[in-house]
Amino acid sequence: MSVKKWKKMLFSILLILAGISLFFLTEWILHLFHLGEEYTLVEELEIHHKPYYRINRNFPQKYFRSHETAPEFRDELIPRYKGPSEKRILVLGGSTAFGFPYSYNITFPDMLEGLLNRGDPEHVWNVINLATSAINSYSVSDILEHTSVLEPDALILYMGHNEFYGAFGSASSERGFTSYSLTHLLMKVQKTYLFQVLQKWLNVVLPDKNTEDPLMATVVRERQIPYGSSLYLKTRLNFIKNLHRIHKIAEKMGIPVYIGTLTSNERSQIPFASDFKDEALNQQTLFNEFTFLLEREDTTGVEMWLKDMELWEPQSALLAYCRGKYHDWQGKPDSASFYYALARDLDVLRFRAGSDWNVAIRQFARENDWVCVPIDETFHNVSAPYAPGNNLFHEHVHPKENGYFLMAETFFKSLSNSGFYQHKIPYDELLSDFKTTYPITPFELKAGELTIQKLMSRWPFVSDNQPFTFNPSNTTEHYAWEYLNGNISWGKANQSLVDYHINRDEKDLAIRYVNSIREVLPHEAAPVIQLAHILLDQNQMDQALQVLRKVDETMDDPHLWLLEGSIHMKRDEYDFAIYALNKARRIILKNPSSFHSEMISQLYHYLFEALTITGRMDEADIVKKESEHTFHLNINADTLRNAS
Amino acid sequence: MGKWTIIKEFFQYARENKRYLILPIVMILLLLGVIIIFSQGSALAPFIYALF
Repeated sequence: MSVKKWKKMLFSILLILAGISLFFLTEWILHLFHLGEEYTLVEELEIHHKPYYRINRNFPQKYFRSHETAPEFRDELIPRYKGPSEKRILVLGGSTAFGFPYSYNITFPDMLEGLLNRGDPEHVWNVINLATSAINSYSVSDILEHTSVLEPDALILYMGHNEFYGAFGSASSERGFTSYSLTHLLMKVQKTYLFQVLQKWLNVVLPDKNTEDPLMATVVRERQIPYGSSLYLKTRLNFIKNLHRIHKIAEKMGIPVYIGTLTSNERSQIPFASDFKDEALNQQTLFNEFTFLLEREDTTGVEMWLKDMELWEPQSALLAYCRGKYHDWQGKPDSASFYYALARDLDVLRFRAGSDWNVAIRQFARENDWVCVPIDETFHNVSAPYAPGNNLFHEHVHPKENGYFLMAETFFKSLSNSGFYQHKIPYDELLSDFKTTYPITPFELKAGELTIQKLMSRWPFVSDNQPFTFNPSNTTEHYAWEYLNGNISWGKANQSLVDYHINRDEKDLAIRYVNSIREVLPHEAAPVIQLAHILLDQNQMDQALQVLRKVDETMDDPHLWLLEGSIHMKRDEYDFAIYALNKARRIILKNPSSFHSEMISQLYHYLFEALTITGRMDEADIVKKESEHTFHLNINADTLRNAS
Repeated sequence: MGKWTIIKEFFQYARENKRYLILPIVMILLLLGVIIIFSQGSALAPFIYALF
């Protein structure tokens, strides 16, 4: 059968379209059978009959090929309906914004939230941590696109250290994806179910090579990025392009943006690698030679060593770093700081952002009405006359607890200075109260310290991976070690330490641990009740009542109301007791089977007693009958006699 | 009657010119494959996530 030319063309086009539509059909079928991941940022759930959004911890998986090893978000619970006095601030960025190496509380978003709420009790300040390790401006811009459901009022950014090696970083994948547009296209394609299915299939067919030995010299060599190289410049340009993308999204959402300048360990972190012209040179050996001479105070030897390096490897990060060390030793911290910053910028393993990243951040903020938050400047001021080092950092970029506090304080000041936030309590008073009451626990510090030790037993901190072992010498260390090895959850470890310190009559420490749990689970009544019990054991009835009354209406928990009522009974404050006990009664009557019979019995006895004492006999009669009919209780004459 | 003839003609044409149908499938699969292979994360990445 002959087909006319126009028909041929039409049929060919139809066939091609049919081929393409097959993919849409496949995608639709995969969606129908849920054969891929949707990656929604929030999940809806109800806790104690109240609606919340829970942040999907697995959301960042979509940025990583291996889901098993992909970093996660923190647990965050946000009320689904934003209250009129509630303010929400999003924090986006990499591991420093996430709070590595700490699990909870010792993070700058947590500390900032604590400061904001203490300084302005009229509002509820909710700082939502949407940061995670190993992501950069590409992922941050993608995450931000999903956040309008959270109704944020402001955005805080602290990012830039991961632009090379983070997910979609220019040096974390093969060449060809240093292109900004191509990377964003890839991010879009990765969302399709078809892509996910194909990727899973390819992972089976072409499994990962054994990467247990990450010290493949060649791989490392390929990932070294000299200062000012085309890859370096292109990556910085892509970072700025992503800032523009974030700016557009934030503008659409109508929220102000606060971006922190990037800080890192300059003084105590030897460059990870130097760009030696002579590949046979070993940085660690050379540095050992230098420190040997410096420790012997052999100034002639040191100066000769520096001159030789100047001759052989003038552009090496190691030379700049050793010059810094020598100037420090000579008592010239200002010039030392210059060399330390230079050493960081020349470090060809780019785990720390260079100085010009901050130049870009400052300029971008100025030109686009963002607030530039002087994190790096503050770290320098606090460390002066020296450059920031181990006084504030664990290793190359992650701050210690004092460093994280400094970050929180700096963001807090910027929020205040810009007029976005107004503290009702004088700043000095707020700060000293915060420093004494914020629950930093020995467990959290130890777990963080061990995490850092484990990290630093591997490349690139050491040339050969060392086995990491630890022998706990006390209970805190035991729980920290068990937690680190995944043998116990954070909550269980902390609760065990509460019990441990109560048994040892170390009430202050027990309170610190309970408060630490409270900070992490602000919507749970159990830690509040436990804290009140500890205070009652110490005969601090006023404080216990204060703790309960602060949250009773918002939590509306029957156990909490009952405890509050029972305290009022002890204080002969019967009207207050009746109010609290009736609150508990109302909740219990809605769902009687959910509560323990002892608790119900105690509630009705107290309520009956309080009503009788205050002469509200009709109500007492109703309560008595209700207790008999609904709960088969027998409020006996003893109660009545006691009451009278 | 004419409508059925066109559909018959189309299927006849499709049988004789399968390449037009297969070409976009192969092209898209190839493109996705290339993207997947080229976007394989750094071999180092999972081990150094904590670094950054």
